[in-house]
Order: sequence, then structure tokens, then C-alpha cells
Amino acid sequence: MSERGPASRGRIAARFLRHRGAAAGLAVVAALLLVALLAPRLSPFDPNTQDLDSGLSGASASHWLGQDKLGRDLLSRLLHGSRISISVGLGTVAISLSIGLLAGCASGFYGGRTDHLFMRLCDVLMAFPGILLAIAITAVLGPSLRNVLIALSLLGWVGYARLIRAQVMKVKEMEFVESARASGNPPARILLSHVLPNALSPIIVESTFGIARAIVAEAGLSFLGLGVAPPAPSWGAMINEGRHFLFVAPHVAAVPGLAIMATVMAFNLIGDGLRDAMDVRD
Amino acid sequence: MRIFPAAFLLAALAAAGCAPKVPIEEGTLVIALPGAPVSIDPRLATDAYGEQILQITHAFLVKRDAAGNPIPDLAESWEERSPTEIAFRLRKGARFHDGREVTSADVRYTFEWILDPKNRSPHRATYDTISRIETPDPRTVVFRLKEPFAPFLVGMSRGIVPAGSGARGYSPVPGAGPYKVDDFRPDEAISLSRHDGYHGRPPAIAKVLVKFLPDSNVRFLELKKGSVNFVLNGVDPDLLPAALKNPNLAMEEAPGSNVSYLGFNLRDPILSDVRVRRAVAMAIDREAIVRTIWKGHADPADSILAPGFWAHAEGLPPIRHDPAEAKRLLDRAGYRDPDGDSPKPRFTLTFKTSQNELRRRIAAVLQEQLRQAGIAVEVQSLEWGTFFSDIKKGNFQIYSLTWVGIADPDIYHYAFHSEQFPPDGANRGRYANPELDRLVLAGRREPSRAKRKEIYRRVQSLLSRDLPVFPLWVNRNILLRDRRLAGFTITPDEDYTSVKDIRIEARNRGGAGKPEP
Amino acid sequence: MKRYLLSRLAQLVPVVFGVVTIVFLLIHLIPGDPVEIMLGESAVAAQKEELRRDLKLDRPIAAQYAEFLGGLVTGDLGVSFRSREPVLREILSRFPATLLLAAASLLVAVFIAVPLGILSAMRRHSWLDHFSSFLAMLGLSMPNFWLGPLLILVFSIHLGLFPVGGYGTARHLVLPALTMGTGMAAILMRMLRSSLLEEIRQEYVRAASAKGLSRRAAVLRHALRNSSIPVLTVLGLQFGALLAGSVITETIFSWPGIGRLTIQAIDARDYPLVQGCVLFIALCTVAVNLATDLLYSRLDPRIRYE
Repeated sequence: MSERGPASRGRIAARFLRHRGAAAGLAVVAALLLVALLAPRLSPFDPNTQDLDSGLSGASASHWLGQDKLGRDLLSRLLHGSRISISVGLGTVAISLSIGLLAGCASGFYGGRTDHLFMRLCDVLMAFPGILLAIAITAVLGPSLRNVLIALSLLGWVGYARLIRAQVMKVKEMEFVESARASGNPPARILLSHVLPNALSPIIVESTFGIARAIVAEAGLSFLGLGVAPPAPSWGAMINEGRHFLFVAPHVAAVPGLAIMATVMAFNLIGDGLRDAMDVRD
Repeated sequence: MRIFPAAFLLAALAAAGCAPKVPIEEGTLVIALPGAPVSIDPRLATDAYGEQILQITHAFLVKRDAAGNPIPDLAESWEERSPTEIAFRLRKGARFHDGREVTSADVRYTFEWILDPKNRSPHRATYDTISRIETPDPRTVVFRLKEPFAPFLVGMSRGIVPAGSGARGYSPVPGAGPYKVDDFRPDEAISLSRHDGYHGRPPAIAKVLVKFLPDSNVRFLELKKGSVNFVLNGVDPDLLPAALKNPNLAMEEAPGSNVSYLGFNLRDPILSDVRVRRAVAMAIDREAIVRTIWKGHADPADSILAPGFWAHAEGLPPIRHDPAEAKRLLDRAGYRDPDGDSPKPRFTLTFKTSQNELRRRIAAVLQEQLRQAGIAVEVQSLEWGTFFSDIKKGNFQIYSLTWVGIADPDIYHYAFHSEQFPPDGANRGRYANPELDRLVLAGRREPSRAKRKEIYRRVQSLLSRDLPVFPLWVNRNILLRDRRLAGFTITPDEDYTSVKDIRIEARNRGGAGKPEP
Repeated sequence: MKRYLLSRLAQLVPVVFGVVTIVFLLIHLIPGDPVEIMLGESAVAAQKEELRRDLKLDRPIAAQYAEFLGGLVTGDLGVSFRSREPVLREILSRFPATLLLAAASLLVAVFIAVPLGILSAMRRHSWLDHFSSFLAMLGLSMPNFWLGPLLILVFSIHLGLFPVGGYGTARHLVLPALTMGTGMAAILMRMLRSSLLEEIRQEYVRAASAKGLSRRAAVLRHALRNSSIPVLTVLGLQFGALLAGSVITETIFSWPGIGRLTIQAIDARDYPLVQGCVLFIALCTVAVNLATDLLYSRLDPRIRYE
């Protein structure tokens, strides 16, 4: 693996776009980001306006996707919920990645006892029932979007850390790093300018999968009652609210469910595409 | 690679070959409970599911009828020799599941076991007024009390166990009820079979299976399939029409006694003003919630006692849904709306609730209704342990809960007496009213039912005026059962005692005559 | 090899110790009083104090912790607050059901993932590849509490093939295993596909086909073997996740497993039971990791443990 330059980055982009699935995924995610940004403008109704007597109604002229149990417009809730799902996905990965970067770099670079300690810590965390942590966090801090992010990040950083550690260990043996070290560069500099850029590709790939995982995890937390507080229309909360009506008004749970599926698929396709595009034997 | 699809097909065929018969065709009653009991020992059980199973497996000294009046069970008669001495005469020939005859020694053992601190029974406090139990002969039990205690008889609805029975975790303790336990699998189900030595009319159905099904969709599906044929209050109101599409199912509805209410923290600066509390109550449209969330299977409540209960006060002034009046009250209380009707609120309240999905739904509705009156509500849906802990500590502004199975108006002492702040009692809102204190203490000691009724009428009137809690609605009991099952009487407190009266009737082919699935 | 095994077993101790300690602290620090939950509100203060003394909850945390560790050494996990059954018995009674579900789900995952993964890798970019990817996405993103009732509706109600829920016969196992297995199958399939793709590109596969070995044989014999390591890793991790994460499936199908028991214990602040369950889950997870590590050395002679 040699250092990448701008020319090879262009090649990667071209390869990526050739992959039809990945391109489609990118389009979907772009659309999603746009929707999240413009949600208030695009929504025909306020997502919290209730109309109790029309609960569980199906699609109609004014409510294109129908209404939930409290008569709220599903389309508007879906659009506003995209903001929450994106926040959860991006936020969780951002935090997990940050923690993972610190831990993985330190462990991989310094090796020895630091590394040993780190691996043991990972073992402990991975043997830990995540549910307990999630309950503990929401019990102590209260249920909210912020605390969902904290819980999911704390559960997820280990994967990134191990990945980064493996990459760092692989790269640090290489010649150019040895020479950088020999010339007395401080470790942080070496890490930032030499090691990390080469370790980037699997990290980016893993991050896209991580976003998808976080969005699904939020749905799981909602099932356990640990997600965001009412009336927030997170997709996970919408599915959870709708699952009681699966057999009389399936659209209430199906709509957010399909949204999650499409989003997850999009991010996974992007991850696949990135991996295929970046992973060539030079 | 070709093996896999073939193997799968074979497996599917094998599985399809033997579809089991539906339980009712085999004469088995299958009840679905929405949760699993932790204990089925009458001396220890505290959760509703445990109590319901005990009503089938155990016999009590005294039971209660639909209006809450005591009726004989193991005791054929009783006599109040003085306000502190009550004697029970046991019937002859009642037997435990293991064959032993029920005697006064067993009754005495049961209550002494509960009172023994070493056994850590959660029911000990209920029987604290007992000072001594005497058994002059095998058919007579005399309870001596430390002081007169009107609700004493209600407490005698406790399963009696044979003398010498230790408590052994999940192992069932013998009872004298119509059914005995064959097998108890915690988290799954309990199998019961008819007790041939039962002192009453022997049940018609020989085998009963009680399944613990926590998922509402699964309860619905099992009913549809016929693998469950009896569910009391276990199907979402919205799913009832879909369930009834099955020609084998019938629905019965009866008055209930579970009253949901909104609790206020009277120590909170905003909520200490009764006008604010009244405004909150008036901003809520209970009729709309009853109509749409409960689909008409509930009624707005005016007291925490259910309308059919003997101590329920008639003629209490109802609280109407009147958003305009609510706003006027808030204005007068000094909380004007800063900018007309929206969007800035007059003030914000936190509403704490558990994680139960239904409660969250209702919380969202209340939140929206209060928003219309200019009150912003932040809903905090907390895990149960945390929720309950906060409520008890007084760390809340409003919360919502349900009183289940109120059997005696002494609940007013427990819930509203000024010395019953948690952790001692349930006066979570910290309501303190000397007049109410006086009334409930008198009510505990008053032996005359008619006089008690008057005392508690005044109590309910006070509470209706002061609104430390706002009663929301009382749910009706909904039973979904197979058409061929007859004989069960639904009581307001969801008592399962009349399971013993259920029988299977031959299907009358008067209707569309659809073949059985 | 033996020395490796012993050293790994020795490492097991601090890990499990770490987990158990963290859980002990967590459960004692979150709000909620087990005594109040047990006795309900009607109990008088004196009674609560008594119970607190009885259960030794009035001692400082450090002392309780020391007692707990002492009990562990002798194999005494205490008695559950709620049910009064010995914790060990509660857990062991749920153990067969949990193990059965985990194993069956893994089997389902392998049965679905292996053929699809191999075919996708060999026929890259074909319609089969795309279709499998689509199925994998479906499996990944469909929540269990959706899939479960849907499976029940189709296979239990309409087709009448399986019971709705419960535990007892092989028939009861099918739907819960399918529900949990499909999510795992998705992850497994993608893992297998990508690592197979890596291997196929390698020199030795091309060399093998040059030598006349059919591509298929080359893939099956060599590439598969070498890809099994990362796949095993994933399997091992998933197994651990299964044990604790099966709560949703267990709730829907009334499956008497450890996941549900743990949640109920947490709800009731049943300290001994929570600690016992977590200890059990941690031990299982670590044991599975060890087993997969040992399997590595069998599969890839290049990896040998000194």
C-alpha cells in the first residue's frame, strides 16, 4: 500500500460510481439528507397535530401515507423523523469513531502493556450485556436523544478501536513510518500524516455500516422503551408505536419500517461500493 | 448444494403432517395472561397474575361478590363477638389438594406464617392488627385484634395453606381450591387439573392451561388460531373487531374497577394552587380519549372508587372538558399566556410515566390537549424502577397510574392521610388535610357499613374539591372467549374465581354454519 | 498449545471479574430500591428496615461486594429477591432453552448464509448476487418484533405448521430460530462473500485453476477454508450478542430464556439475579471467544499458538 494522491482518489471515485448499487445508495442518502434538511418545508402537516377520531386511517388525498393511532400525519412524521434517524446514525458513529480512534491509535502504536490493557478492556466490554448498559444510562440520565446517542456510542466504539488498532499495527511496520520515526517525529504527527491516511479505507467502510447499525439499534431501543421521549417521531419509535396495530393497520409500522430498510440498504450499498472501489491490489 | 432445498422441503412436510387439534375440542380451557406471576404462594404473591391464579387454586376463608360484599368460602359463617374479636366457623369436608382436611390449625398456620418477620411476607402489614389467633376446636378460628379494624374481613380473602408448609421458591403450595397445580413453568405456563376433593360443585372442565403471553400481538394470534380460548383484558381495543371476525369467538363486557388517575405534586409551586390543578383537569378531554383510545370500553371517572362499589359516592360534581374555562382559571391564578394562543406556553410541566406503550400513547394525547390550554408538557417515559422511585421521593410534577383492585375504602387512608407520605404510604402528592385525616381514621374504626358509606362520601367530596389527584377513567372488563365456553362471571376486579363455573356447551348451529378451523 | 490454553483461561478471570464488578456497581447505583419493590408500598418502615438488614443491603457497598465475591468463590450465587429461588437454579433452568435457541439460530444462519455467500462470491454481479444482497439487507434491517409476528401469522395461523409460541417440542423452536437467525444470516453472508472475494483473487486460486482444478473445487477446497477465520470470528461475536440480545424474540415467543430473565431481574432490582445472569452471559461469551480462537489453529496451520 503506497500513499494515495489526488489522482488515485479520482480513480476510486470513478470505480465507486461504476458500481450501480453504490451509486443508487449514494443517491438515496443524498435524498435523505435533503429531506432531513427541508423537513419542515416539505411536511404537509405539523407532525404532532392530533386528530383522534381519524386514528389509523389509511392513505387519503390529504394524508398521502395515512395516519397513526393518534391521527397524526404519517408522511410529516416520517419526514421529521429522518432528522432523528440521521442524527442517531451520524452522531453515534462520530462519537464511537472518536473514542475508537484515540484508543486504537494509542494501543496499536505503543503496543506492549498499553495494548494488552486495551485488549482486556475490549474483552470486558464485549462480554457485557449491552442492554444493561442501555437501561442503566437511560435510568440514570433519563430517556432522550442525547442519552440514546451516549448509550449506543459506548456500546459501539470497541469495534472501531479494534479495527483502527489492527490497521495502525499493520502500517507502522512499513518503511516510510520507520523512517519518520527515526527522524524523530512526534508520534501524533506520525499518526496523523502517515499512518492514518493509509488506514482510512476500512475505517470509512466500517463507518457506513455503523451508521446503518445505529439506526436499527435505535429501533430496538424503542422496543424496550428506552428510545426518545414522546412525541418525537424517530422511525424506531414510530415502528414501536405501530407494532400493536400490525394486524389492523399495518401501514403505521410498515411506513417507518420501509424507511429504515431503505436507509440501511443505502448505507450498506455505499459501504460495499467504497470497499470494492478502494480495495485494489497495487 | 442441491441437498439444502430438499432437506428443507422434507422438514416442512414432516412438520405439516401432524397439525394438533385445537384445545377446546379436547375439552381444555386455555387462558392467556399478559404476564407471568413471580410467586403462586398465597402468603407471598403480590402481582396481579399470581393473585388471579391463586383464585383458581386456593380457597379462602371469605370471598367477595361483585359489589365487594363478603361471601362464605372455607368459612361457612362468622360472627363479630366484639369490635376486636371475630370468630369463623369452618365448613366440614373441605380438603386440600393432597387430601388432608382443612382445619382451624391450617388457618392459624397460614396467618402466623405471614406475620412471622422471618418469612418476610409482603402481606404482613395487612394483618398487623391481629394480636392473637385462637383455635378452640378444629372447625373454629378466633381472631383477636389490637383495635377495631373495619377492613379486617376484606383481608380474610387470603389463600389457606396446610399447616407445616414451608415456602419453596417456585414449588406450588397445596390449596383447597377447585383446581390443583400439575406443573408450573415460570415464564411459560401453568397446568391445572380438577381437584376432586373440592368442597363446592366440582368444575365441569377437567384441565386448565394458563399461558403467560407478554406480547399483545401473540395473544391476538393465539386467539385467532384457537390455541387460546379465554382472554380477559388482554386484547387491544383496536384489535377487538378483527378478533371477532373469527366466528368461534364471542366478546363479553362488564363494569370494571381499575381507575386511572393523574397525580399532582402538591408541594410543587405551580401545582400547589388548586386553580391550576382544576385548569389542568378541565383542559383534558376525557371523552375523546375514551372514545378513540379505549374505543368506548371505558367511562370517565369521578372518584378512585368504581361506580358499582358500595362506597362510591353518588352525585359528585363532574369536571367538564372546558378549555376556555381552564384558560380563565390559569389567568386568575397568575399564569397568563405570554403571547396570545401560541407558541410560548404559560409554563412547562413534566409528566412522568412508565414505559408501558398504552400509557405513553395517552401521555402524548394529554400533552397535546394541555398544549391547547397553553401548558407545555414534557413527557418522561421512565423505566419502572426509576419511575416508581421518583414518584415516591416526590421527584415529579404530574404522573399517571392506575388503582387496581380496590377492595375497601380504607384506601383513602393509605393514599391521602397526611402521615402516609411515601415510603410509609401512598400519599405521593403530599396532600395534607386535617379534616380528611379525621374522617379516614374514623372510617377505619366504624363498624356500621351505612355510617362508613357516609364518612367516605364526605371524603370523596373533599377530594373532588381539592383535586390532589384527578380521576381519569375506569376501564370496563372485556372478555374474549370461545363461543362454546359458558358460565364465567366477570367481576369488576377481574377475579378468576368463577373459572370453576365454566363449562363447554355444544355449538348451536343457528348462524352461518361455518366449519370449524 | 496447552500453555496457550492455560494462559487464555487465566486471562478469562480478570475479564469476567471486570464485567461482574462493573455490573455490581451499576446495578447498585441506578435509582430504585429492591426492598420497596419487593414489599410494595403498604409495608411499614420497620418492616423495610428488617428486610434490608436481612438481605444485608444496609451494609456499605464495599462490604456487600466482598460478600458477593466470597460467595462466587464457593459457587454460591445467592437467592433471588423476587422468587426466593437460588440464583444458580433460576439460571440453570433457563440455560437449555437459551442454548437451544442460540444454536438453532446459528444453524439457520449458516444454512442460509453459506450457500448464498458462496454462490454470490462465485457469480459476482449476477442477478443472484444482487438478489442475495437484497435479502441480506432485508434481514439486517427488519426488526425482530416485526419479523416474529409476521412469521407467526404466515406459518402458524395461515399454514398451521407451527405453534404460536412456547417451549417444548422441536416445532416450537422453528419460528423463534428463524426470527433470530435471519438477522445473523445477513451479517454472515456478507462477511463470507467479501472474504471469499478476497481469497478468490489471490494467487493460489489462479494457480489452482491453471493446474486444471475446476474453479468450483478450488473455491470450495481452498478459498472457503481460508475465509472461515473471519467468518468464525463473526459467528463467535454473534453468539455472544445472541445470548443477551434475544430479549425481543424471547418476549414475543414466550421463550423462557436468559435474556428475558435478565430484564425482569433488572426491572425488579433483583441484585443477586442480575449479577448471576450477567456473570453467566459474560462467561459464555468469553468461552465462545476462546473456542473460536482454538478453532482458528485447526483451520489455518499458519496460526499456531505457542
